Amino acid sequence: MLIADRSGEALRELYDRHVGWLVLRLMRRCSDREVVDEVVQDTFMGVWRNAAGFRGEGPVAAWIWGIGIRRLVERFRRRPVPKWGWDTSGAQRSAEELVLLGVEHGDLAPAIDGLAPELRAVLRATVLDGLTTREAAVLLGIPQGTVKSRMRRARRELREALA
Amino acid sequence: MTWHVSQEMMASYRDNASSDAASHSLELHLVECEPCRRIAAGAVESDRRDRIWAGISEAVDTPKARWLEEALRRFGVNAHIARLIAMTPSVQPSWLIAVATILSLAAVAASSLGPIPFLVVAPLVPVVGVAIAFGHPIDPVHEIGVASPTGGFRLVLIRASAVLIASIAISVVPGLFLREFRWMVVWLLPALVCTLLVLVISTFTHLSTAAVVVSLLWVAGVTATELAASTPVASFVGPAQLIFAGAVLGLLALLLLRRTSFERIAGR
Repeated sequence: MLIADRSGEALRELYDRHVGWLVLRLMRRCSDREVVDEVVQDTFMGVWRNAAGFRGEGPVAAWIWGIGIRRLVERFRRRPVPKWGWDTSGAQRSAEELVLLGVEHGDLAPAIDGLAPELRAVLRATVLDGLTTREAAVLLGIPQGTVKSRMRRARRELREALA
Repeated sequence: MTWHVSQEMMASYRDNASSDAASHSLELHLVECEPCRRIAAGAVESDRRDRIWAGISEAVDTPKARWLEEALRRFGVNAHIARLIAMTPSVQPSWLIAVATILSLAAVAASSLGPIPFLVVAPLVPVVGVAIAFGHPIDPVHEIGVASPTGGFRLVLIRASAVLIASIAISVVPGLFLREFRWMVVWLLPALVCTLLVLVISTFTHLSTAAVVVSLLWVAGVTATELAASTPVASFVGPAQLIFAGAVLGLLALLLLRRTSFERIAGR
């Protein structure tokens, strides 16, 4: 990747391509604009510094998101009074869940929307955002045990809804 | 890819109006789909994107000593001051390691030569540090000094203080090699005197000249005192410390009187 060669123009191009969705996606997880803007800055600085760490596996956007969501988690670790537009939490991601979430339309949508908000939040943090249980707990401001139990409940309810 | 994101979908996602399931699949889709990412960019105000970029490019253009800057900011230091301090050449690890090495040699030599080599060199560390803090020809912060509306005096004081603190802090390590604790502290006032003297003289001439003059004066003064005095290390003990204390007060007063001339210094 060009960024790894320290080209400022390449960083600018990457920024232009990816800032939009990153801002929107972070705003869905943290409603504070200032915090989100700073996290986006941190993310691209992280991209700049760690460009060599991108091994070309999977989409660049997924790599950027992995950096961005962790920067957001760090923010909440430092200042642990999260003001969430919503909640998120997590457990380990399974391929099965990813496949399920990858289904654009169909039976899954009502099943997910039928979950309680706190379960959806946990599901999103762990499955969609790829966070560990510990990271999800920081992000959501709840204990790790709660993350795990909510994740179990979410899975069970999803299975029942889809059965 | 069987579908794409419409402007309406993107708008309701942005406004938190879309359902969670719809948002999830949209987010996953955006990871894969370049055209839809362009729609996402369009959903964020362009001045917001520009503002965020301004912060990134500023940080990327000034890659030095980020860790120190961040540490200072975490301790509540104003962001601009933190950058100014972090970019001072004489608080960089390379400089401090060099200083610690030289002082350690001097301190180890104290067992055979006495503490004088250490005590002569240690106060010169902040002197040289201040000189390279402001005199570096490719120092990017130099330009901040030139453009600063608040003027040079405050900048000079902040940077000189940072250099002094860093110099003293790093001297603690070699000081541990000295056999007597008092040799670790008797040079602090002389260090302050020498640094202040450099700043005062620099209002009349170039900073690096001032540093050379002060260094020569200091070495000559200590040598002469040691040769003339009947007891060893007379330049650092007893009445000498009182003289240094008086000199600090006098030089501080002089510095305040000369403060306006620092507007020029910062621009040099």
